Amino acid sequence: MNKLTVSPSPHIKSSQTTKKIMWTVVIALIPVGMAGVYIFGISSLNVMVFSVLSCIFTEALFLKFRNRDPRAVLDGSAILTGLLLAYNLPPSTPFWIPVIGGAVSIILGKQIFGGLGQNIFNPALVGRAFLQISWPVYMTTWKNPRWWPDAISSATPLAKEAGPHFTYMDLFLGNRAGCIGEVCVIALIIGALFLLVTKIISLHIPLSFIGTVGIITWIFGKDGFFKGDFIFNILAGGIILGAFFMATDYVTSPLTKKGKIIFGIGCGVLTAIIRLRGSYPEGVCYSILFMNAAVPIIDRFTKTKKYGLIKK
Amino acid sequence: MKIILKFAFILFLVNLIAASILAVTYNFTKSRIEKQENLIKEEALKQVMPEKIGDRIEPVKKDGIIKYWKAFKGDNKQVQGYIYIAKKYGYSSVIETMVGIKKDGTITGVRVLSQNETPGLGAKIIEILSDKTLFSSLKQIFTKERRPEKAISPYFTEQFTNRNVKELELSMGGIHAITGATISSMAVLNSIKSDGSKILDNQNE
Amino acid sequence: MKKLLKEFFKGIGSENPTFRLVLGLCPTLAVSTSVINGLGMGVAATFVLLGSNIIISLLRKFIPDQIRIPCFIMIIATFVTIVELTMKAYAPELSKALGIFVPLIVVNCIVLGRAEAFACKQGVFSSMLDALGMGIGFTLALLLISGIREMLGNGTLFGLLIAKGFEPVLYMVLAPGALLVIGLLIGGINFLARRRSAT
Repeated sequence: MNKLTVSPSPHIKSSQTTKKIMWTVVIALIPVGMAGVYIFGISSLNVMVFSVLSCIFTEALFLKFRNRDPRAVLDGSAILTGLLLAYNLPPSTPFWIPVIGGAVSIILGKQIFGGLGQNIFNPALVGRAFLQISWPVYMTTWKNPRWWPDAISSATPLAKEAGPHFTYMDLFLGNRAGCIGEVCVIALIIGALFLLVTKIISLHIPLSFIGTVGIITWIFGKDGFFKGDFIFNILAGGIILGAFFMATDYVTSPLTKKGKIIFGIGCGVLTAIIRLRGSYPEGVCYSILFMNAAVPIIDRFTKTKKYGLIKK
Repeated sequence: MKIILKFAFILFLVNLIAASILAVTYNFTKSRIEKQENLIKEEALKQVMPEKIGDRIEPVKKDGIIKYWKAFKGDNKQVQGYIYIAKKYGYSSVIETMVGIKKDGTITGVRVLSQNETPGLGAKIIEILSDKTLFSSLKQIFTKERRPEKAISPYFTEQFTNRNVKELELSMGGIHAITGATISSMAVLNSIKSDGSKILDNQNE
Repeated sequence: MKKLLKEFFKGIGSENPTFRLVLGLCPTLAVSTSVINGLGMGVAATFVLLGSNIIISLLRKFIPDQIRIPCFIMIIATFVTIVELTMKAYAPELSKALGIFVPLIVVNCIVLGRAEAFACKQGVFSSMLDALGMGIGFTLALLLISGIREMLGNGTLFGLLIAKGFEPVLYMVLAPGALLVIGLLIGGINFLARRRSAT
């Protein structure tokens, strides 16, 4: 690959390639998927397969259409997009939801901007936002874990009218209704640790994102100032998935450390505002998309100083 | 100086002609616009109050503005029911509904007069389920086959009929909210409930 | 003759107000949720365009350059008000659906743009053809956009169901759908135009 990589100087050549990075992230996502299948049964595997196949097929089609080598589909980015999209869907959606979502992610989220590296927004989240707006009923019909007595349709813990109360342990292990990839926090943390050890991601974005949501929901909680249940707000919903796997996307996040922290705080503030005041129960998807749009500005104002440069 | 006067004169002339054309158009359409507006109201009044219950409808005015309507049966002086317009802000617009109730609070009919909710979600409060499709309509045109059209009303507002206005609630046995549009559904329900209860509570005054 | 035909057809094709000049997008975005609305808006705008272009072309020697804009606005506003009143009297449903966007034809860039760029310099007949071409081009663009949006976003065409069991793509009928459809159409047209000029 002789692609132009943009990063702040100094530049050093490493053995990392796009392909390697993408496949590492895919591997890191495997435990989450296994947990999803274990919790919700085989239907979540269907959603994942349809989503990934749809992404690969659309990507190959578009590469052919744009006279590029269709084999580039194997760089792993399409598979990653498909997996992330599937992890953001409820496990009981009909098969055409992930199929359309995958196609939309690749076409509107990525290829229309010029393919990998050119996209402004995280493709998987573009697909998910499209689905959320288009078919709100399917996107908010949840399935309970396999071992619960009533199988279909209960609200996620975040929903404002949610009935049953969850213990932190339930939330941590994934004993609740929700999207395929967001429920099992322990699997997500295993994947995230793998990415941190292999130095694919840094802690700047996830920590500032999660920390900000925690602080804001603690201060402005339901029960009054400085009494909010911030552990619940961090464990329930898609923050862990969003902060570690989607906000850290290389193409759509800032380049510098300072920029990454600003990006993470922005995501956190927006997520918390949507959760506390918005009409949607969950705001991770929209807040990351919002901040994606702000990345060029953040990059511009957090340019690294040239070494030895004296301010005039 | 002279040129400014000239400009002023030309502008005045253009405006004069425009204004006179508009005056003519306004006079020409005025009566028809009023008729159209009244027609809609009258049609709605008849729809929410069946003739069996009340066939003579009289407005109740306060400071010259119609507050609600009273329905009488024939020459009977006894009030049989009330009609009122309930208003509330829904998700993206003020939803206006016209509601007819009997003396005891039983709803005789609900009709949405105006709304501008999200198409496909909140706007479903006026959706009519129909089995007419583009294909069947085209077929009807070409084969001249006519099926009798059923008088159908929107399924959401239909649910309110024959319920007591004071006991309305969103629940399994009560009114079913439109999926994905709970806020719009709640706005319709609450406005009907609160305004209706007010009229019923004051009916002996 | 050939020149006159060109004045007519440029509004539909090479200088289409929506896709090539990208004028008057505000009403296009707002009212293109159903074909009926799109058609109503297109016809209303065409009528205003035709009337104002003819009158302005007739008065072009009489109106001094320095005060032409207020005069144009006055003439356009007159026609818009006529359309609005007529619509209220004879098509109350449509007038309700189009709402504020009928009065807003006054500030539609297409109308003032044609008055300023064409009618105040050209003869009555070619101004008329220009207005008709532009109006029809605008109407066709609206029909195309609203057709796509209504079909995908509501599953209907002219308010009639297309197929049973189709799950409408709500996205299309909401505001972002308008931006997406217009963007994709402009992109597609540019792509085709560029490929044609390349060969």
